[in-house]
Amino acid sequence: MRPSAPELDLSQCDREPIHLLGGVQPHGVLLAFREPDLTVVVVSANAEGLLGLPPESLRGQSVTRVLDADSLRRVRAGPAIGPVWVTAGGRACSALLHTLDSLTVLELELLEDEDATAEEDALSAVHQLVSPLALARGTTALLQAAADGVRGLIGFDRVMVYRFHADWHGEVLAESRSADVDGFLGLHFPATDIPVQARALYTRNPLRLIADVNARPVALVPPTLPDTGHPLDLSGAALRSVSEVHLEYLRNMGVGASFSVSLLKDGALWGLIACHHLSPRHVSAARRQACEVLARLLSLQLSAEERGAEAASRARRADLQGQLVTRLGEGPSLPVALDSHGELLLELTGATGAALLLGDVLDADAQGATGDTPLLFGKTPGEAEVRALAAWLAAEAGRGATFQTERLGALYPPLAARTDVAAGLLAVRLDPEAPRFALWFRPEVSHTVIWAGDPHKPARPEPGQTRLHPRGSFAAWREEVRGASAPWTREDVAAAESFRGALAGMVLRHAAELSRLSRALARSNAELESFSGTVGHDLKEPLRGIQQYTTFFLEDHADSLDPEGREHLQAVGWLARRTQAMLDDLFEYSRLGRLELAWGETEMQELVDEVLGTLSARLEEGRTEVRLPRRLPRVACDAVRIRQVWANLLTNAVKYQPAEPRWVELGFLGPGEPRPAAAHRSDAPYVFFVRDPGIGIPPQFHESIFEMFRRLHPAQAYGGGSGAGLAIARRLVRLHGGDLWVDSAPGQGSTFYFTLGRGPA
Amino acid sequence: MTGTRPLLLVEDSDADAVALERIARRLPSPLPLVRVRDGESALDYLYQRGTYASAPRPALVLLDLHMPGMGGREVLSRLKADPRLRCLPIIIFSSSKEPLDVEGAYADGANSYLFKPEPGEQLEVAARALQAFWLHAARLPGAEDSTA
Repeated sequence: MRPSAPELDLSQCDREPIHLLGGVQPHGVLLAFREPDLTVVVVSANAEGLLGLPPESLRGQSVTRVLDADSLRRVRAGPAIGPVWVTAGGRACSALLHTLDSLTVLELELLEDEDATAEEDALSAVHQLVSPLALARGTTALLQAAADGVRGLIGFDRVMVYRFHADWHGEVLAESRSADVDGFLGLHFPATDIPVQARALYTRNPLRLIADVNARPVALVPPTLPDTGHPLDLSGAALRSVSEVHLEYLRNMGVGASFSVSLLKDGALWGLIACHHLSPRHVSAARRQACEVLARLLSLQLSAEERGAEAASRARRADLQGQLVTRLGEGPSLPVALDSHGELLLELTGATGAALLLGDVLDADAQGATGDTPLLFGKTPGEAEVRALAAWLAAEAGRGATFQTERLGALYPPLAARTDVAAGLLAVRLDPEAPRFALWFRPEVSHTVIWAGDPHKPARPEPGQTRLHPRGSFAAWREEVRGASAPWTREDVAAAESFRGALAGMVLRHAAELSRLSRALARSNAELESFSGTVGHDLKEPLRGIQQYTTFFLEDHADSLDPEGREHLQAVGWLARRTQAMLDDLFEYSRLGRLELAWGETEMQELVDEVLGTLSARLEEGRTEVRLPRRLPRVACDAVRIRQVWANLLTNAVKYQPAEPRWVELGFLGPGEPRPAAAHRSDAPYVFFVRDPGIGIPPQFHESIFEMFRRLHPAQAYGGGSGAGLAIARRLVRLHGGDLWVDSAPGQGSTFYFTLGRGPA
Repeated sequence: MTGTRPLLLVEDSDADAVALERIARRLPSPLPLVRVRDGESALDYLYQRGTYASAPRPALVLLDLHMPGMGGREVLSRLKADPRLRCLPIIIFSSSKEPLDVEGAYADGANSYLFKPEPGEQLEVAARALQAFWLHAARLPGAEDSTA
């Protein structure tokens, strides 16, 4: 953990040249000599304490003055992975070395008693560390084993395994600590806690020990190299001194010593093993080296685990998608099926909300899928907001593109205030020609993670306690991430795109099914047509015959029949006429299926006048008053068909009035006029109606009266009729895109309402 | 005199034929009707073939459209394609109100198209009108006979 100090500008932290601070920590001695003459060029000011010689007497001298022949041989064998055991100034030391231009940089630390025993200790330390790893199952257990192992080896108070997220903010995934320090497990830390150049050093140099935060750094002699005039680059040096900012912050936290080991994955910084100790504590080079070996093994293991996890996640997503596709295939319609499996849809991309804008791609008759109404799952903006977003996306995101952002509000201000549900958006376009999308939403990230510290509740440091302090950097960072969601991963995007594929496939299958049905329908239409042709002629012929012969018979032999015989014969004729009328209606109804409407501007008033004209005899005969309170409007319709509708409704209204006074009212409700509840079924601009005070219809029959040949009364009652009139009338208005319905109750009369559609498409 | 030449009724439905014959008999001046049951017989009659070798030429043909075997449309086309018979007036007499049937019949050269009325008295009205127009008002081809 490298939190920066609160009082400093963060960008200043990013610029501080921490590799050129020009000093070393006092727990070791740095010495740089030139090949091939072995002349010492730079040495740290604390040389005398370890080597017995002051820097001045070493500079310009051969390094053999401090290293014995055997040690020199080992050093000159070249940079080793780990520390080299040497005798320097007559004392056993561990030496770390690296080369820098023509210089060999040697860092010497006195071997402590516990390390001095044997080189095997390092091996046993590695063994001690690595063994638990082999037993751990799963990433979390693995990291926990690493944290425990490191703490066991170096004896620090707190060892955390810290992982960087894609935006470089960090999360504590595992922790091993003594009982008297605070736990940070599960907390998230802002990215600014570890500045860019610090992350670069962590990548280059995986080990970092600050043995004593209060130790004064030791200068190098001379401070700049004579050849170049620049200070020695210490980025490769383990002893490199520490930024005062960082030290001060560690002191503020009550930390006495800090040690970190980088976790790299595929060469990139994945995380850190970060260790704190309350008092100063040195970790020998050998143990540090053991930790590095552990980190490397851990990194490998993590890579494997992560690849496994990715594979598992891919498998999980594939399974989710499979489930979705299967379930959706089973459902009566896609929207209905999706409705009960919205959770799967969310899980697919790890979203908290999703919206599908399918337009009329799917079954347009299915509730909820008509027109532009989006299907919403989980936490999403409202329907209208989603529709507007889709319209914007269609213009912005381009055809067929996948669109993703963690900051929707910055790109699309209308949703800037909806970070509670839609800070992040992942969108796949389903149709290049229309604004049809699958959308996934995520809320602002601060809604979903626990941050290390609450900027609104500054905590006071208490003596003897280690705790995180409120930090300006945190508040600043919080400002920076406000409105942003967790980023969409490659896997999320892949899952979304693959869902698009599946959905497209499903839609295609749906379309194929529709086309199969329509072929079947065309076939059955053709069959029906030939059937109705047969009915129209071959069945009518014998019916005509029955009527003719009963007529002849009655004409010729009525006198020789008794009244009952005559009645029977008349009944035969009536039945034949009735059957023929039904055939005619059936024929008529079936013809409506292939009817092409002839749209035109029509004066509805004139149309109704014509109908009243043709029905006048009947109206007079029934002494039925026609009420027309106001002139009917001009509308677009197929005049011939709508005349038939009026005629049907008027005939009906006249028919079902057994007693006087009989009347029929014809009227309409215009745009903006108040409508009775019964007329609310449609929002068409005009609702026409035909009202009568007749016998009325019980509510349970309000739909069935529109079925073909459905009758509520005996065939002979109320003037007969085949029961096809209303079915035909409804089919005619529906061909116009309108609807026909009734409001009625027994004894209360009936009002038949009808609307026309929006005109020719 | 026109009355000596019969109407040829081409009709497969006995009921319709019987009804028409019945009406024809009862008209004030009876309509002479000859009936055949199908298209083939109609052509045999008009070409005076087989049993119809000595059949008289009719004044008019009343032709049903929907018949088993050779249909009315085919009979019509054949007659109108033959220069010797083209002038013979052909009146379609059908229960079909299909616009396709009506238009098709005229396209093939029918001289008029009558819907078979519903059974009962309307048939008599139709028969009277038929007689009044075609046999009294209209001048038919083969006029030298009519002035005799």
